[in-house]
Amino acid sequence: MPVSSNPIVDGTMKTKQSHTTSKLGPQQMVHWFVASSYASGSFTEERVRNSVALLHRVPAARNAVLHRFTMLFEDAVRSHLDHIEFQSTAPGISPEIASSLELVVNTLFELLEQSGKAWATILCNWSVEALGQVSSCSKQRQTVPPPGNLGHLLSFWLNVVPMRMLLDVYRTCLKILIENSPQSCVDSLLKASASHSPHFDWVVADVGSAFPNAIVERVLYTGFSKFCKLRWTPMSLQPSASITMNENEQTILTSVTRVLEHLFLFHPSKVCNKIVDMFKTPPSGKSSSHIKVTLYLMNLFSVSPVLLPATTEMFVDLIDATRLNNLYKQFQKLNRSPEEIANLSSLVVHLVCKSSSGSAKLISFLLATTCSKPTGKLQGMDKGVCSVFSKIVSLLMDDLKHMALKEKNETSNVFTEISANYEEYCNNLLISCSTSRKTWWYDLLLVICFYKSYANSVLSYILTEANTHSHLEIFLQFYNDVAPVTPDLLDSVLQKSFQSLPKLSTDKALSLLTNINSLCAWDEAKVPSEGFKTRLIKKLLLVIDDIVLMVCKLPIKKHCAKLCVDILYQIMSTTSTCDLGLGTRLLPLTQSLVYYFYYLLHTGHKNNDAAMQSCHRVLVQLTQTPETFSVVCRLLLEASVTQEDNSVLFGKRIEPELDENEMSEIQAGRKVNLLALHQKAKAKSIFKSSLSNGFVPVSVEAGRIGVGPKKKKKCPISQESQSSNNECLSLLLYRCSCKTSGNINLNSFTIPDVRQTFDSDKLLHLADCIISTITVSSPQLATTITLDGDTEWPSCNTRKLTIERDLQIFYFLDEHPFVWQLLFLIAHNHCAFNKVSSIIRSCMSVLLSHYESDRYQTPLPETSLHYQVATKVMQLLGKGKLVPEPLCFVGQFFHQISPFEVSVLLTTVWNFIKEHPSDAEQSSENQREFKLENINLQPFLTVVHHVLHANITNLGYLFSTYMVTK
Amino acid sequence: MNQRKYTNSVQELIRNLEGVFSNQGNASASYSKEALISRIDDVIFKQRGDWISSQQTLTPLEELELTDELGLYLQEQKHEYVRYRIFEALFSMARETALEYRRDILSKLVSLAIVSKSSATLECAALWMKSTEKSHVVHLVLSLVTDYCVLQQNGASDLKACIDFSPRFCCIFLIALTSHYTMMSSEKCKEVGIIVDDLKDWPCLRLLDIVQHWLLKDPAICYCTATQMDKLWRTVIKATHSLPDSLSLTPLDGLASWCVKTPFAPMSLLAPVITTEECAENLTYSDLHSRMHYGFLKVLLASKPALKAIAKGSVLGNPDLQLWSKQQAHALVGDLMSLCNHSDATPLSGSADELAVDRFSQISQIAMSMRVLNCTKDQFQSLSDPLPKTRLLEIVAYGPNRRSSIDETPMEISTNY
Repeated sequence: MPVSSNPIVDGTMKTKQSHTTSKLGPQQMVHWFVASSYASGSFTEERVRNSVALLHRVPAARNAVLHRFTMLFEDAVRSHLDHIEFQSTAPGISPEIASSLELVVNTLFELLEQSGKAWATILCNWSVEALGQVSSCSKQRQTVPPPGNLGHLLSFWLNVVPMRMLLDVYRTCLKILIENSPQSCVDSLLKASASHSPHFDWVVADVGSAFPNAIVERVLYTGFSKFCKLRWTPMSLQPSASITMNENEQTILTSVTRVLEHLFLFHPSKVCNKIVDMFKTPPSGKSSSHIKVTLYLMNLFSVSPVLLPATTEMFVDLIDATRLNNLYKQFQKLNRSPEEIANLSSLVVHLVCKSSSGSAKLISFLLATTCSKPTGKLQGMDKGVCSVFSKIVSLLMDDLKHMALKEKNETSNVFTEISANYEEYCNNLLISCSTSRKTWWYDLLLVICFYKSYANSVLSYILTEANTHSHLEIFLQFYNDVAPVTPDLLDSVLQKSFQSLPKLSTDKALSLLTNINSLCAWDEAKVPSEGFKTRLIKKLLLVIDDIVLMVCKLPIKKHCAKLCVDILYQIMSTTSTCDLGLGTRLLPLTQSLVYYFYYLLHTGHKNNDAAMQSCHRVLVQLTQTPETFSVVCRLLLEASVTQEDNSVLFGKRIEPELDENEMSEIQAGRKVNLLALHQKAKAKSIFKSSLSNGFVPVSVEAGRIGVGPKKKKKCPISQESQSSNNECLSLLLYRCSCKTSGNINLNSFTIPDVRQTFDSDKLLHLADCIISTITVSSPQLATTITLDGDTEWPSCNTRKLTIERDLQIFYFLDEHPFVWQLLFLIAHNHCAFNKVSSIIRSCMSVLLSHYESDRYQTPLPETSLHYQVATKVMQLLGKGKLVPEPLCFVGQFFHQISPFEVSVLLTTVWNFIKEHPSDAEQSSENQREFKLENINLQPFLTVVHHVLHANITNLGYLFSTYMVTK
Repeated sequence: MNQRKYTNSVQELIRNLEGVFSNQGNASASYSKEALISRIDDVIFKQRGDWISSQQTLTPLEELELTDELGLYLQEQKHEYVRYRIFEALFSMARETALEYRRDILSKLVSLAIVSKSSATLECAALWMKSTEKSHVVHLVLSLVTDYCVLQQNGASDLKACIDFSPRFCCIFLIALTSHYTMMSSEKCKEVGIIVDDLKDWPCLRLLDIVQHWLLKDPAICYCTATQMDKLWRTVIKATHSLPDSLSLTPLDGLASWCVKTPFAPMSLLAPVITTEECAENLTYSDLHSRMHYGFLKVLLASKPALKAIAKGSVLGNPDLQLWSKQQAHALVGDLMSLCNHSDATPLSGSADELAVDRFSQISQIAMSMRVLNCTKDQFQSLSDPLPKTRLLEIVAYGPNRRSSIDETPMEISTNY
């Protein structure tokens, strides 16, 4: 064996030999090369030159020589790095090595130039392997940047001369290969990338940016062909040439992904487009290539968290019915077992779970595919495809649910993405007619809710959008499913709903409130909801302030207010006062309701309107206790007088009553001539009453001399609505004053006008309220002598002192007729009535003055105000037990006697009251019994008898009434 | 050092093998044949049966050493039988283990043998090629072609020189070449739309140059497998004769079809030129083709010794062996028809069709007259009948006396009657 006998071990021989190698035969060259490779010492230029010669001469030594070159480059890089690291001690690349490098590179370029096509493949493989090897060897060096910082690493290596040389060789080879035989140009790149990553990634990045399109395409397609061979070629037929022993699907996919992901960093659009192009036009015209490409890409995505999100949307846009049908057919042709379909499904599911941006679109698309009658681009889809997708979707839902429950606290992109679209899903859930699809939308929403705090948004959205009974059933079901995993769900749902309420459009707000309302009134017998109703109402308590606020936002959301009021009623009717927290809430609550009540009146609502009914109902519910009654009552009444626009409702006269001439004159801005007006008034009065002759005085308002006569005023509201309003308010207060008795049905409930119906405590409060109402109605009434508690009736003559105030009260009552009704109500409790007797007193005082001053003998007509007031006063006095029978009946014949006689009778009544004041300490519970008081009525009745005598012709039949039987 | 250890172990193993082969039947051999062979993959090629631990492979340098050493050993081994048995033990393709790697090493070994003019290795390789499945042979041949005709600028001269020290290798090499490069894909296939690498089935310019050089230098080269059939060859070939896909004995059939089909070479091959050592001027594909055709005709003329050897029965003991059988001629006619542009009409003068048919006529005529093609006049007439008619073909088929159909005019027909 001659190898060992080769004489080249010591240095002297080497130099001698080096001169002669060119003349040696090939075999000797080989021997020399082998020996020099094992010899110690670094590379000399001679050795390298001989290696180059060997490369030219002996093809069989090619690999060995190239391997030797790799070592040379490695050596050069090492000394370069040494130089960087230890500046002084390491000399860096010696000139000899530098020139050797140059020689090698020149040789290689020469070869490429001469017969590029042939050498490119070999040198391509070699250079990329060398790059990988050198990169890997240097990974431990301090000076080499970490592989994470790709840009830094790239610029570092490009500054290392030997590496740049290698890279140049590689690039040149690659260029030649791409031009001539692009099929195999990236095989070596993939292999090297697989074995040297991540220290090799900079090469991929650099080459990728040099030939982005070609590299991306080739990497994709090479991976594809290997994938196909591994997957669809039977084991026995596998051609071993293109696939090495230790390659399997996973390694191929990983290496392809790694390269693509790097390229993606710099050329995202190119990578995506190539991938999509591959899908659009699959390589090779074989029938099943399309499905193969699809499966390949799907597998690719499953290992790449970067590429998947980037392309998801592009793919969703691309897929339509024809493509799906085609894919399905091809898939069936591949003749796959059920397990294969299951695998595919789970792959799809996995992908969907991993996708982030675009995943919502993807899921929507998947759900669209399951539709039995697809529209749009999915029209004409095969039934089989549909069923496959159904399976996929149900699987997907299961997986998503698991994921959502498992990764509650992790951030997963797919959830964030779909969460953003929950509104769309809700709509679909409600609109969809197919049961299965409904289930999927439902599941999808469940997933969203499981994952994050979206449950409240979803539920409140459903609540807003629901508009049929079945929608509410869905809501309930959904709630029951989600509630176990979400604490305080209902709470947050309601909060969310009411927070969003002001932002919603009127329709939506309405439907939301309607739904809440109908849930409150849910018939548990029909659809069991496991005590949902009670829970709901309990939780509604927490948002009661929002509801109250809504009631106040009247002009905008008028209909909402009614619903809010209804909801309030639902709450109040099932919750104890204590739970309602009325202590703090009563005032705002009442204010809102009162505001709402007057709003209803302003907008012309009548007693029997639904809105008015519900308003009444809730107010009655609120005034269950005397204390709340007092607050409600006070606010209600004070609102009626202190706010001018409210008092107008009941007949307050504020507008000047003008005839047409005056109107036109005022409009023309002309000054009013007092004399002319006077004459005009005179002329009028002549026609009116023939009795008045000569000068007729015209009353002139103080401070208005020169402006004109005192103007009569009128109420802008029609008489009809005035009376309806009065009736409405008084009816409300009647209802409120009733004794509390559980539930109230307003429609079937008639109030009998008997004492037992009403709560006497409430009546006392009502009396107080009326007094204070009158007090606040105008400053004059508040400041003059008093209205508060002055129940003593003075001597009849002293009334002249208070006539001013009395008149004001008189007109107040005229302008607010409902007060009369209330007085009648109060009269049921004589103690309460006693409190308001000062009002009656003022009225009587005015009446007395009026009747006394009347000089005519004829009785006042029944239509006159004073007559009406007089009868009312007499009725009240009788009902309120200030005046006993039969004295209280005198009002019955006021219209048949002369005004003076009326005044005499009134004075008598006054005197009676003065002399027999009501006992203030008497319990309000017991009625005043005149019989027990031993009153001598005779002197008072004598006056009555006299009057009857004077009018015996008319009133004779009444005589017996006023006889006192002892 | 590793070097020592590895070469020593290789040497030791080979020495053991040598011992086994040289005294077969001697029970005193310390190792059984099978045990040694099974150690080959492990020790020499460092390829374990289980590929999980396949990290342990030879470095390129070790490969080079190995091939060099094997070459030297084969050259030094004077006993022809032992030499081949060891060669076969190392590179038998019947053994599945590390098959590809061994084949690669074999390619390198042969490549090195060519450049170092090691006739012993080449003779072994020739016999190996003859007795191995065709696909492996083609692989070897293609790798040699890559080495010497594609990558090396002047590698062709090394191959050309082979004829001096191993004609049998050249002959087998020719057989393998002609069986691989069928020259069937042409412009026509492209028109039909079948996408093929149109150069895949065509030998490159340099290769053609080598072939024509060999044919012209020694026409007898094509028969050396038949004429130089020694004991070793006969034994080995007889043992592997039943192999389904092995090479034929001589390259005559392949060369004939090359000569006939070359006029249809694709355009991309026709343009480039090369210069060879013997001829200073530039040679184009068609120039080389003409030379090859000429060489082939000379080959046919030199067929006497081979025919004699066959008749004697010294070639595989089969005196009826056909060098160029009628079936092969038939197949060639079929190929030719599919290649011709107008198979029924008379080809234009100067067209590829005419040239191809003419060459076929020439070859057939000489082959028939040399008894290489055993075919009667009538048989040949029916054989060539479907081809486009040229003057030469008419003459060959029907003799010079028959009036050519090309020159026929109605007038002359009538006078002929």
